Amino acid sequence: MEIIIAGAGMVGFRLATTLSVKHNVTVIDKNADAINMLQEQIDIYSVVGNVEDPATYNSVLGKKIDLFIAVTDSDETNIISCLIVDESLQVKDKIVRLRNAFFAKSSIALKLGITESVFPITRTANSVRSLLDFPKANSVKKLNQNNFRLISIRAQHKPQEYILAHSLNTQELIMVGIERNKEFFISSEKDVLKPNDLIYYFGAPKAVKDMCSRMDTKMPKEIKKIVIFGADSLGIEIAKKLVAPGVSIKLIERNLEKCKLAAEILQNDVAIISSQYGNDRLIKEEGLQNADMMIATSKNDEENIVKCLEAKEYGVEKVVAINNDPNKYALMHKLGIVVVRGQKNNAYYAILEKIDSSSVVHARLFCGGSAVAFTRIIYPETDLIGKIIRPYSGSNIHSVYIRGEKIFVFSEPLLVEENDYIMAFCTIIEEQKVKKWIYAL
Amino acid sequence: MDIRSVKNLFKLLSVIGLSLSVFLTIPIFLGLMIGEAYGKFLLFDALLFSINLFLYLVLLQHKVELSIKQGIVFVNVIWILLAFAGSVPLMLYSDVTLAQAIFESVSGFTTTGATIYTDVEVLPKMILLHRSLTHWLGGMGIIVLGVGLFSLINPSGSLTLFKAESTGVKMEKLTPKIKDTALRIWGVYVLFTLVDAILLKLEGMSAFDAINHAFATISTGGFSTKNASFGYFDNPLMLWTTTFFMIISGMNFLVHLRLFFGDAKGYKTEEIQWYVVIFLFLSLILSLEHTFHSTDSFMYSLTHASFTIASVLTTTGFASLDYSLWGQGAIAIVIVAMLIGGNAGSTAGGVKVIRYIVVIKSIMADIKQIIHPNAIVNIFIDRNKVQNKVLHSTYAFVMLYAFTVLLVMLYLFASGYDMTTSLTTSLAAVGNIGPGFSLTGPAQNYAFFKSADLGVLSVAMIIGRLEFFTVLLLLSRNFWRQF
Repeated sequence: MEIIIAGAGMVGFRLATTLSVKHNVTVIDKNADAINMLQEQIDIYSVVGNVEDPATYNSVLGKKIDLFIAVTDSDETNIISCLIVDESLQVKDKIVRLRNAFFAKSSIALKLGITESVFPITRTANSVRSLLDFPKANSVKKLNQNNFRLISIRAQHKPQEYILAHSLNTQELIMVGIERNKEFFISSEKDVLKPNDLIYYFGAPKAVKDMCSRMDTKMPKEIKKIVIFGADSLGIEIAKKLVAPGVSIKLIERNLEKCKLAAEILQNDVAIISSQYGNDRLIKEEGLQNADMMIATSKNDEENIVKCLEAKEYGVEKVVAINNDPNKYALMHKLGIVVVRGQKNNAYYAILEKIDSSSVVHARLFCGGSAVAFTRIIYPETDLIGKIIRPYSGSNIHSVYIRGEKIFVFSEPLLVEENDYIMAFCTIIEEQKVKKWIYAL
Repeated sequence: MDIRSVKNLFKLLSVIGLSLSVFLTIPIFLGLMIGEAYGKFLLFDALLFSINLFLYLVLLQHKVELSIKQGIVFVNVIWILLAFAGSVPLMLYSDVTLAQAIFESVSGFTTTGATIYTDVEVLPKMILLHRSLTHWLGGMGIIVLGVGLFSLINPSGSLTLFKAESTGVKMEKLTPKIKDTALRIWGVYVLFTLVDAILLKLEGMSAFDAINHAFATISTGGFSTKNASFGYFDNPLMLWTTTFFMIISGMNFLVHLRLFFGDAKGYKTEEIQWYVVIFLFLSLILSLEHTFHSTDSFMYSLTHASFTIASVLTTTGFASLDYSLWGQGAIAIVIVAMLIGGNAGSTAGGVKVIRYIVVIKSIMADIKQIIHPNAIVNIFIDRNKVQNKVLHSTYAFVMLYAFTVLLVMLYLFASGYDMTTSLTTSLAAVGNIGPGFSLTGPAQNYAFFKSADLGVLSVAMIIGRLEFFTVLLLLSRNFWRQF
């Protein structure tokens, strides 16, 4: 594919690095230093220029562009650059990162001819929200239109307890993989669970919840009292999503101005507390040690880690950190912190997923991008119905199909029925092969 | 060196080795056709091929991920091995010492064109073709070819290799993938070679001579199949054709590539404009100088003067006559051309025009700064601001060039050669030009040098071809440190 990426910030840089392995990538940014840096490190074509200026695209005129990705810092710039390339180049698809959630609701993106828009803030907030329904889970993902979830749980059993990895599988729940010592692998029947493993299960919500209670005895059973650190746009968005009857939320922010702004947006649903004069006083005063869950939402990972460790220190079991820098992901996991992808991280993964997905196949990355889940949806009236398909021939993959409300292991040739879901879970190394297989079904 | 980097190194070596062995079948094929004793050559090539194929197959599953350091080590190792591989056929078919054979091979691959053969016309034709082929492969860079042909190298790794081997101030790309740019440049290179060979053939050369001279012209090498080089043919048309092709081979190949995409603006760079001006100016004063001091006509002088200036400026090293007999004024003019060199991104060696532009502009900027202490002074080339980083590395390059030339010169002088020979030979080796003056003049050769001298000159040629830093990095203690 010929891909143009507008914006050489963190998201643009990571996308260019990943995509340049297989595709022809051109990166445009007005920051000459950033562009030089990119050009030195990875195999791409680069242009220094303003993405809002049509003249910038002169050097790629006449080329057929398969994908245009706008990931600059500003919504306006992203949208305008999309309009410009639409006018001056032949572009097939356009993916845009947007902050303003208003665009998600309205049909503006469609009007502008934008193929896909990515709302990282909303995605991050939703990830946090989903933890409320599954209090013991480390992460929860809804992979497609059906009700099934992919969750991760931290195993808390005693070392002497002997649990075979697949012994707890049912027709409503299967184990997909394990992250152990920073390394993700597809589980096999012979694997034995060890304490502190992060286990990935895929299944129906009820079964998933039961499994959470079975594996994890430490985390609170339900979350009623939540503390959020940081009242940036992300903190506020998360607070908005978490507001529910019976849930009390305290949003703590050092900057008084930000507090005032948050208070206006969130009104009285959330208690906004200024920590201008130090946190320590607040812990007792506000009873923070009694919280069920603490979320650190700053853009600085180090700060988030420290906040989480502090909260653990004074007795909060469930501590959540927003992860902005992918290099800190493993460290956060190791420290027993629940990790939620931050905006930039989310933008990166979301865009990669959009590139891998189509109307029939959905791709979702999980476990810090080290694993991927593909879903092929059998819509009514598709050719595949009534045909026999063969399972994936390689190893290191879990392929299943969902029929009705049950999950079946896909190991033998299968007669496809309407509304089936064919799914495959694999490590990122196997991604290309599995992707080929599921598209070719 | 851990096991991974050793594997990386061997896999890349095997790929380049395989490419080389494929190209070496060309002279063998020629030997087969014209009935020369190709047996030993074939045996050597088969051995080269099988060793590399074996290595390649053993490491088939190994995924090459080069770090910058590994890339630099690799480039150095490959050039040393190329020198050895290229020298074997010479030893098999002519009576030369190891040092001589290696010198000849290095001179070939670095497109220097200095020869240790006193009589090349008695050599088997396939050996002559082999010599020209080493020029042709080394001119654009065998690694650049490898990067283009084999996409097995990961992107960032191939970038390092490309930069380490190609010449010039900075590396540009025309396509997102370096592989595509590399392949297209080779396409232009092949095309130029074909056109040149066909023209020479039409002008009366034999097909064999035409191909050999085209190889040596486009790569700005300088090996000839005749002892008298171009003087043998004594045909003004051939001289003008070759002058033209030498000059365009001394230009940035990316600019030629752009032309094929319908963009001729590339020729308007300051570097190319100055290069052409320098060529015209030096040719003119050399022909005037010769016309005034001899009975030859102006047209005759112009033909040979422009051929000579093109040959020396682009560091090719052909001779249409013994211009060292034209007097000291002429020699001085030719030495000026020796000092300048071609364009960045071309097959030519030398200091290169762009570096002179940078240095001169920076000196002018310094003068301006002294006169106007409060002024903000910047240096612009082609309307782009020259970064301090580029300025530093340009000065470092020029200093390194001067030091290297000086050291080699002093070595030769200490070995007992006269000053003119020492200086010009040193310039000719480091700049990959070929002929110097006095003992190594255009009508002479390098046969009289001792083995040790040839060794020093071989190293000087490789250092000059890889533009100093790639080789010098290995001598840095920091390079080998883990921390």
